[in-house]
Amino acid sequence: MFHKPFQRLKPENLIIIYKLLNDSLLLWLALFVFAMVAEGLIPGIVSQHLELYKIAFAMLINIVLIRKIREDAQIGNADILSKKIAWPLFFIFVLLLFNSMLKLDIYLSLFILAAISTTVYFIFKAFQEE
Amino acid sequence: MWFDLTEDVTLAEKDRARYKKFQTALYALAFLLAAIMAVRVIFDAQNFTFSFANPDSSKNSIAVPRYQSADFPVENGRISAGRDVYFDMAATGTFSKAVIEFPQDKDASGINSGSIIVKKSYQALLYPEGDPIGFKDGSLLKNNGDYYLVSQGALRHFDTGTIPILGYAPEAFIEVAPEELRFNPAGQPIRGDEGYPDNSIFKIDSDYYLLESAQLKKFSSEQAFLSQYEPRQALEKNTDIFSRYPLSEIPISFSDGSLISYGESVYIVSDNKILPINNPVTFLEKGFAWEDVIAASADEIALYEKTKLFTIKSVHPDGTVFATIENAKHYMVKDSKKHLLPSQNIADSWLRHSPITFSEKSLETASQCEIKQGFFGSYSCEIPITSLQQLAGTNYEFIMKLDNGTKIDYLNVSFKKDISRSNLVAFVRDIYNKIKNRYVPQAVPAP
Repeated sequence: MFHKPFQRLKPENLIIIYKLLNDSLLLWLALFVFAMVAEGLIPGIVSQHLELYKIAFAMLINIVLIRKIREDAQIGNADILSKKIAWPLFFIFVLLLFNSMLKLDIYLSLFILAAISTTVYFIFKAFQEE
Repeated sequence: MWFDLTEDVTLAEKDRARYKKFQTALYALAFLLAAIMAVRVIFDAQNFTFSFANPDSSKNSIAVPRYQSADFPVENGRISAGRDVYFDMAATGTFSKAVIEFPQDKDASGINSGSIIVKKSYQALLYPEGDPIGFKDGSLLKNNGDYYLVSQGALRHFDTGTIPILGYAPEAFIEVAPEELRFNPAGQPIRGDEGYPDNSIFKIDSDYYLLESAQLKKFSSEQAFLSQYEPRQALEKNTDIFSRYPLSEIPISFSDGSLISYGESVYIVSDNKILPINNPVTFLEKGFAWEDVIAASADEIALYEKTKLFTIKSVHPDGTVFATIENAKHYMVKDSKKHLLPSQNIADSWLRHSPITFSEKSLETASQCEIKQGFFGSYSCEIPITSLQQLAGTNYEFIMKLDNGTKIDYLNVSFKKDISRSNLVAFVRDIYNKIKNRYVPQAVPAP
């Protein structure tokens, strides 16, 4: 029922929308990462003006639409964003995590960071396995 | 080469050209929205509101509007003709103008004319002025060969020959002018055969004690004693004195207005309570200095009742001392009034740390606007406040006067910044300071 509107569109238009949605996802992601880094440095600087859940919600809608159009337009399951931006995102994630543990002892922070990074790496690998 | 996130999803040449146009428009729109967002963050506006229909609502960010004192609040939004209505709020940042808006109640009569004045200072300094305060209890004073002790607020004269009998050294007394003595009422003379008067201070072994109601109250630490008195004021005694004046179970701790720290928290002491300061921004915006923070022990912290957070909206508590930059005139906050400490000697008897400085101009400098009618029955007034930005304090006090009585539903106040180079510089400086406060540890002493 949800995918019917897309089936009425011409295939080439559907692909253009799909491509634009990928572009917009990148823009939302850039905004979200920027907002997270800014909030990490100065809490409240972005969230006073724009609640972060709104960006997260917009990204979720965007991802759902991408998946729907991919199914309707029968586009292959290509790795688009994940490989290109996984490492920079992981680096930012580590920085934000370290920033959130500023008040802790430095060695304890590094230990927690190493433990979380290893866990995330293995979870990622587990999901990658066919 | 064109930027394409989904290169493997191909399009015909004609459709690809269409995609490029849409993609360019999408990125241009994103940059435009980012620029608008940046302007909103940099030239931030702060909004405050008060609803007369819900005066107890937690959403009200303006203190209850009142006539002169908090005892006379404006009830149900009914404004009397010709009377000054006061309303306050705490705003941080450098603003260019304040816009006050208030929709009028639909059944109320229109406003013919009116004006609003705004002042900026610390809220406690906008309190009405109370009677001047004299020397602190325990002060040892001399004038023209006469010696005095301030005991329970009164100035008590030592009878001739009493000083050596009680064991005081003349150097322990500070020389004051006769006019300084008139701020403490005269009390009973001190006679040698009656023992020590209340508020006598003793040093027994290495501990300090204060005599109150014939009992010796011990200071919780030397730091606590030094927050109230000087060592010269203490009379050295041995433990025999306990046979005459028993030890009280109630210890004495830091003076009102002291800043104490435990762990990473900093507290203000006032009236046997401590108020935890919510963050370093509040600490600095309220005029406190890190050098004045005293490390307290867990036992000392436990002596106090911990009360609500001290935030940017909070008023400086009782015991806080302010001093003018221009002529070092001192004021002490007590019972919702500011009291003049009439001389430097009197101020010194109360002060063991730096006072909060402010400009005397802040009490006189004001900006004004005339109320105008806007759309849909609402009224507004726009006040330029650039001239107030250099003044210390976070509190803005608005004084509204209407020529005819009316009823209003709520009050909205917006502090706005002009898009200017100076405001951009102020924003960058503010960000720098906030990052510094967050990442560079403050010199708060360890216990």
